[in-house]
Amino acid sequence: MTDKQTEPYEAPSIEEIDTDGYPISTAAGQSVPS
Amino acid sequence: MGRRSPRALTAPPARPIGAKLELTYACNLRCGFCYTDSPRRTLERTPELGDEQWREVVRQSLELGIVEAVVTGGEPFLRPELTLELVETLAGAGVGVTLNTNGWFVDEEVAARLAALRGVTAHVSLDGARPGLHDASRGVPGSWRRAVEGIDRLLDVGVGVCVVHVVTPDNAEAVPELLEQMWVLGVPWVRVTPVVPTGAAARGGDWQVEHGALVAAIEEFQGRRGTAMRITLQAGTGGSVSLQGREAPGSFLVRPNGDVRPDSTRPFSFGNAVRDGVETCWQALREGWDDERINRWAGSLKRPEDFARSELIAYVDEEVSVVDGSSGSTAPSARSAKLPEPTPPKPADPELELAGARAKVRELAGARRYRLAPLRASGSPDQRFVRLATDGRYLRLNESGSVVMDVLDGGTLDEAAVALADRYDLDPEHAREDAIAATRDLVRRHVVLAAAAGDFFPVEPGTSDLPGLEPSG
Repeated sequence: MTDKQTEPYEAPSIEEIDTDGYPISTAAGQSVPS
Repeated sequence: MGRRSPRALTAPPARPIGAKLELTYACNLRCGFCYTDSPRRTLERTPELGDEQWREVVRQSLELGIVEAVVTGGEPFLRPELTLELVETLAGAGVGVTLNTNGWFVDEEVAARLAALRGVTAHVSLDGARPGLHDASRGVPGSWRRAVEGIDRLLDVGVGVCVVHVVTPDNAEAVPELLEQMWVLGVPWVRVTPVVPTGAAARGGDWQVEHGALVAAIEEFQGRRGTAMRITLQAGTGGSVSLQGREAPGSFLVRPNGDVRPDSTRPFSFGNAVRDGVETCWQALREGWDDERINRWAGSLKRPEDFARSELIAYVDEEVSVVDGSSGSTAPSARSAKLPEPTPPKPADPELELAGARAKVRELAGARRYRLAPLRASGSPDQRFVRLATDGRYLRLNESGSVVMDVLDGGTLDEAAVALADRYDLDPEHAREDAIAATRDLVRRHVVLAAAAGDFFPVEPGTSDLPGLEPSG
């Protein structure tokens, strides 16, 4: 019972991240690629 | 990288691209539209090549350099050991293999042997979303159940599957339901095809279906479920066959008696693979494919109804030999041959039967066990990052997606549904719908695979559409 979710349910989502060859942290917008 | 269709050839290549091998005339089913006229042949017990002769045909075909093969019948699993051995030989040599079957004989042993091979896709016929439709179409009660269970066994062990749905006026209405069931079952590819007007279908019957209605049904399904399950719709009856009759063949077809033809549609032979050797037949085909007799025949086929009236009907009339200068067949035509009677399914309430079919498909899909593909995962509970070791792609999953992924690390789709329902206090039906969708997505993206599958993913759907290799029926 302790791990019942109280927040609104969001249907499962799986999306592909296009890193364009950069490290994922860079591609996620944490720095600007040169 | 996009998918490209092969270009039509202007001339047959020096070495054939592929071979379509009709291992047997015989079939255990009695489809009224069978394009190879197998029910008649089964009754007639037409002699066919022996096992050793087929091994030699395959050996010579490999030596010629084929890259693709269609292994078909009749029903090839009426010669189970030969079929499996040849598929193993071809796949072992790196040839892409399409294996046509009605699924009846796909037991656990067959599935396991196919699962051990790379590059094999099983094309399994299924003609309706409930037994009454499929069994009436196939002429043998029980064939729906055998086909669906066969498909499930193949998916359980990670064999690539294409479900071939022959649409007739009797089952066209149920196409949306069939697509839905195949999606639930986890089928990666459904090929929807109208009846090919050769063989048994050319003897009569109304096989025309409205192409536009099929397009609309497919679009409606994809609007609802997305495009993860590939659906291909074969062009309308007639036109494509006529067009193909004028294209240069890239492959050859070997009939059960060894006669070599360009493909399923052109009833012209270019020698016999056993008597003359495969290479001699291929050279004869290269030289004679544009024969005036073939062009005249192809030119006479403009509308579907022309096929039944044609002077030469593929799989009903004996092939015309192009190599020995004959002008036509002297063999008796099988146009009025005696045919086995199909056995009609027992009358059943369509609604009840459909409910039972849905339940059966859900039960099979729900019980399939999965495992994780090679990957690494990181991030937080509400946002998981996954790197797939197989191809280096990155994925992001939300929390409920991660819940499903975690369960499928050794668990089943039904267990994933229970986990979602429990964690988020969902209605069980809602949870099951979402678990199915998430599982289909995780499989498609190669995050999870069937637990009993081998260490490689099946061939991506759509890589076996080379010219002249059209699987059918």
